[in-house]
Amino acid sequence: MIRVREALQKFYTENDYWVLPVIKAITAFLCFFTVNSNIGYSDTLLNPLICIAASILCSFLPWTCIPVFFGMLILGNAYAGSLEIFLVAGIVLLLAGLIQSTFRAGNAILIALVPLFFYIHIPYVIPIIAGLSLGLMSTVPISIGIMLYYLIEYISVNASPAKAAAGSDITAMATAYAGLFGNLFKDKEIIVTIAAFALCIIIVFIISQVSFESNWLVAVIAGVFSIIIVSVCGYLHYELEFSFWRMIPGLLVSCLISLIYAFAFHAVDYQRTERLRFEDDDYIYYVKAIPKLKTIDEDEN
Amino acid sequence: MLNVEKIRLMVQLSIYEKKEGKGIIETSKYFKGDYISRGILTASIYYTLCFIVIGIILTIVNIEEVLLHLNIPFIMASLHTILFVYLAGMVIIILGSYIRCSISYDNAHRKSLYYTAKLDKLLRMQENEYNYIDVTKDEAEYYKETGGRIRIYDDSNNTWETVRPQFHTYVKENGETFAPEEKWLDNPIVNNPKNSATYSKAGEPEGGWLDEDMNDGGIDILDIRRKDK
Repeated sequence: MIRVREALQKFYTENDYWVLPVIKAITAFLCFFTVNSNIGYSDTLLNPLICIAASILCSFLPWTCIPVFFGMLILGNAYAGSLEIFLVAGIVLLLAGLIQSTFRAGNAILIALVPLFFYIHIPYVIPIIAGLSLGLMSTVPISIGIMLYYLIEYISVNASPAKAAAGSDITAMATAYAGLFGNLFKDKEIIVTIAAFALCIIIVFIISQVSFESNWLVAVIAGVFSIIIVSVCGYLHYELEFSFWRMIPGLLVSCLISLIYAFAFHAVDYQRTERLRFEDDDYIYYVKAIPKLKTIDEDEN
Repeated sequence: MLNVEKIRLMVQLSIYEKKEGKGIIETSKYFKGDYISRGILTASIYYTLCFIVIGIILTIVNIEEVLLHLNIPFIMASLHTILFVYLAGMVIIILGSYIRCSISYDNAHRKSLYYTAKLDKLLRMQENEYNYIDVTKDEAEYYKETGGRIRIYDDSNNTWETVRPQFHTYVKENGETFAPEEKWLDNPIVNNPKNSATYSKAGEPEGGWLDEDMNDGGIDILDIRRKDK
């Protein structure tokens, strides 16, 4: 297994110039595809070429651009759905941007990744990996991501009836908008999920910082248990519909992926090959700096 | 003249600048107090906007209740609650921003000192193409006092850190150059270039500096172009 990790490190170091853009493009495509497959109301945005073009563009841009395009795609589809839903989506996205800016939390890519992982039924991977590698501040983008997942779900359910809600009477309109916003903002499931994920991040982070043998393994398992406990307590407290057995496969797969991640990536320095250009008074230098990788043989010596 | 040590140092500096430069440049524009104030002010503005948006949403969600109780005592009681929640949140945001900005400034400041020390080393190396320092006798007294080390102030622990420059030292007096008796600047370099087999009077190893193995530190020179002057 250690050999595999070393091979992976070596492969990344030697091929980072194409591996990173490809990973970015695939991630962006999957995120955009998630939005289109669930709330694809706009025929223009539903065109796969738009999705592919945006993904290719994201491969050259920083990671932060993926959630920006993701938000724009939600807005575009919400606009095609109905004007009222567009308003709700606009306000939620504005709030998301403001919260992210208030805390200057970083790791904005998590905002787009959380809904993607929810739709592939392994959302619990995100808080565990974030707790292991990204720190406590990752709670903010993950919470925003959860909000966006429920926004997408909300749009997919409410887009058509909302058109009927719009009327000319101001009281009827106010009540309709109260219902529109209330459906999303009074959803207790969002609160339970955010609480479960936040507590998981905190527990995983604290345990992974304590120095003892296999701390990452204990952190991953403790994180999974914290999600189970908070979810069960939350769902029971708010008397929400809940199936523990439906949650189990997702949790097991998430736990397995988190363990593989912890083994392959946690505390492993995947340094990139740096291509540099610098100059002094006489010369211009073009240099490639390749990080030196330590092998097991070297360690044994 | 090309100097392998200098190129290595420039590569190190260039990578460091690429990775940490943004943070260093951002903090170096401000004094610590100004940087923290700026961070607090930005966070406060965003928090206020957030609070307004959340307030509007909650008003819309509870519009029926608001319209039902629309009288002066209800409005006053609501304003009191809103103000209390806003101020409590503001205090938390200010404290959080203060701690975060303070830590990030200290980290960036420490990195900038390290970067400056490295730059200082590069500049000295650039001043002297032969990988050793020529100092006057007066300067030598100063170097002797400091042990030939660059001192960096660590403001978190209120202590001085010393960085040892790796230069071979020669003292100039009346146009003549000689090695200091105690070799106090040569640490941690062990071999004296004057005794080295590759040392020539010009200070350059035979065959040029680029004859040395460039790949040992993972540095691969793609191209070196002489500047047009």
